[in-house]
Amino acid sequence: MANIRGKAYALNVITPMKSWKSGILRTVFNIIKLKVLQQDLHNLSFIHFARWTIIPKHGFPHFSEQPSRESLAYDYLLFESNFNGSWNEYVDAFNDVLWFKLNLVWFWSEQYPGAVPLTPFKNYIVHNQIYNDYYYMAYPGHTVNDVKNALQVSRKFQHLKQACEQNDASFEQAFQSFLIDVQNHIGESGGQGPEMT
Amino acid sequence: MSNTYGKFYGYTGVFPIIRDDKLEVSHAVELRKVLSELNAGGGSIFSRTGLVHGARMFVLDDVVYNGHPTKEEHLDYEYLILSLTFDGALDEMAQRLNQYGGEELALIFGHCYGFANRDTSKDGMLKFLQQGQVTTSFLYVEADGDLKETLRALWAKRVVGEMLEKAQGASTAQKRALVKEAADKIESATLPLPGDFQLGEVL
Repeated sequence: MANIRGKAYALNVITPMKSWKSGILRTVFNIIKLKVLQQDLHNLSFIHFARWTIIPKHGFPHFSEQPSRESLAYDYLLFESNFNGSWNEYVDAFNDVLWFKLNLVWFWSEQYPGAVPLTPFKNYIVHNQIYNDYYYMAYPGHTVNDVKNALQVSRKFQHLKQACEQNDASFEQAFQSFLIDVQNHIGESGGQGPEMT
Repeated sequence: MSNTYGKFYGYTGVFPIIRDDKLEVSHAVELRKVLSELNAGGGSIFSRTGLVHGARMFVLDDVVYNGHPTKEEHLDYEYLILSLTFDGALDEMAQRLNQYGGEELALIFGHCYGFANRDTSKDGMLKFLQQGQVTTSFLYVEADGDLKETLRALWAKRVVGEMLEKAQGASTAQKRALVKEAADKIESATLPLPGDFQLGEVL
């Protein structure tokens, strides 16, 4: 299935929205763009990347060869996420931690039932989900935490490398500090990962 | 506009698929077949650009009706949705796609309006991508490494892990030698192709 590539799952959800509500939603996005408000997303640490895109009813791209233009009543909100784990785990965790922000964003979509209780929310996602036909990940065998750990180890190792030029006592101290810093970040990663459902 | 998040660009493209009622098999069906058979691993179209962290494509046949009192409506066209998260700016991406896209570009976008008649100059691909672009409203990227740094770091993590294992009980001189050896191993490694599963097997 093209929704899964190694340890990553790609979710797409597209929902209709009245045009006048799009302006409000853009304001919401401008607020949650503040990185200080993204801490809960960082803490979840299983989303490689995610995006929301408002496609205005008159904003579907038009090429000159097309005989006609789209004529729609609604704007459409496209949500795309790349995460580690299964669909159920993701929606459960997303809902549990980010229910308020989910409501802030999806509240403007037609027939959105709210993030709580969970069952109507899941039904809404299922109803509006579009499956992928193609999915590519540059590091499919690695989770978000694998990548973050690797970057941390690699950057700290640069400092240890520089310490090789120091005297024995300073190098030994640098080595011990490095060991303490990275010992919880060097677990092996790679491979296809467990089979997801 | 939120097409960017730090050093990353989030491109969202919505390309209308050619409608031709005379065809026995529609362009949308043909395109789905192409996408399902397209290489999604190392050496694939997005791997070759050397910039893309993640890419997805899907055919949007129609919009979803959510029940009364929502008004039921339908798209006039089917659309190819293309989402890319990559390092840098769109012009660089367009240039790489033009340079390394190969025959896959025509296999994919040949089913969409505007590709066959696009400007074939070096800016043609950029114009095509811009014409099909819808501004990303909100983009989020978790890790902060560019693709090259990320792939090298994933390899470095493995090398450092092995080095620390060997360094247990070693003297300071031995540790220093092990660190230098690991640094050489990391720097001299030929990085795997983006999109490959294993790091060690291809190095």
